[in-house]
Amino acid sequence: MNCREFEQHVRDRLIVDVQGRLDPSAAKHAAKCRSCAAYFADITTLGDRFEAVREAYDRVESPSVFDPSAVQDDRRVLRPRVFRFARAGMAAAAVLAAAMLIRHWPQEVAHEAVGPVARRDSPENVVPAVDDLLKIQVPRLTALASYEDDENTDINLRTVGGITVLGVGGPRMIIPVRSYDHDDEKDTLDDRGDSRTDKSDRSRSGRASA
Amino acid sequence: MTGGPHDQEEKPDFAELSNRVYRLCLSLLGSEVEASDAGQEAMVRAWSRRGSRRAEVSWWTWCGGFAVRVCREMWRHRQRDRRVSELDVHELNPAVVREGLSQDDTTRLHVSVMQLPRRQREVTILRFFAGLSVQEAAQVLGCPPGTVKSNLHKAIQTLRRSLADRDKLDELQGI
Repeated sequence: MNCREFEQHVRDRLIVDVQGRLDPSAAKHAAKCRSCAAYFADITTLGDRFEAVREAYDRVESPSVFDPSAVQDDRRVLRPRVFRFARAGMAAAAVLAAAMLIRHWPQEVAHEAVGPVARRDSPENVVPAVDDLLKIQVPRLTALASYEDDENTDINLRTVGGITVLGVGGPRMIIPVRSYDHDDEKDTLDDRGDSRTDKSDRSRSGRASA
Repeated sequence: MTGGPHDQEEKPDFAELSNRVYRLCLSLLGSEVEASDAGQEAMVRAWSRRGSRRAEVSWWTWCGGFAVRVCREMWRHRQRDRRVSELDVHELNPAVVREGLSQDDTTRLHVSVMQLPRRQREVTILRFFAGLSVQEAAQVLGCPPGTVKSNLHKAIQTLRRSLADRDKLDELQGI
């Protein structure tokens, strides 16, 4: 038996039987090991003090004796608790129902116009809503503005919904820049036979796109 | 009480049972007034719910379980209210314990037990002060006997260390 086993055995002895004796092997170990002998003495002292406390408590008398006739029947005691649980369950169900009602309440979707688009010369002077803009099916608007060679500048303008726009980007992106008066348009043919706008319109559109 | 379902069963010795429950509450709480209240409350609860008691559970361990639970509640209220009883003063100020109670080994041991963690304190009191076996203490606390034993091992180690330290301190003061 080593020291750890000895300590374990001594504590077990105190737990199971406070006044119990040591095993022969444990007694043999305690005779050889001084620290274990001291440990055994400490535990024995502790056990004696426990016994003294227990004997002191055994002499104590209760100031009153329980009278069972003063206690209500089981059912009377238990009934309020049952109703308490029922009330709590009903309250929880009501809260749950209210939460479901709020969550699934029908809501109207508000359509808001998000910001004005350029509409300087729009005849109606109306701000279209975003949804209206998105409904305009413009697969592609292309602006080709080459400022390097002013003579060869081609600006592709389209008229969409009464507004002449210079489109950039994909179908969901429309940047109206300037109205375009189709009556003043003077197409000319150059030497190569290309269709061109006159110079004043080109410069105007070029400034706008810049 | 008339017509109850438990009228046919044997009645315990209420005087002896009240004494044992009161002693257990006194050792758990350390206050006679609180122990009297706790003992009465535990007996009322135990008797009101006697229908749930299994046949193999003795009246003493049945009532002891309620006593432990009532004492836990009172202990918690005491800590919440910060009510200072004599025992609290000892717990809060170890110097008072050393100077005022060093001559009384029994009181000193009791105070050391009260300073243990809750689980260790309860198993120590049930086993050594109330004289229950490990099995009975496990029944009262509603836990396996192995848990009771492991807590007792820890408690014994702690108590042995603290009492040895105080004995050394007494010897030094004696010199």
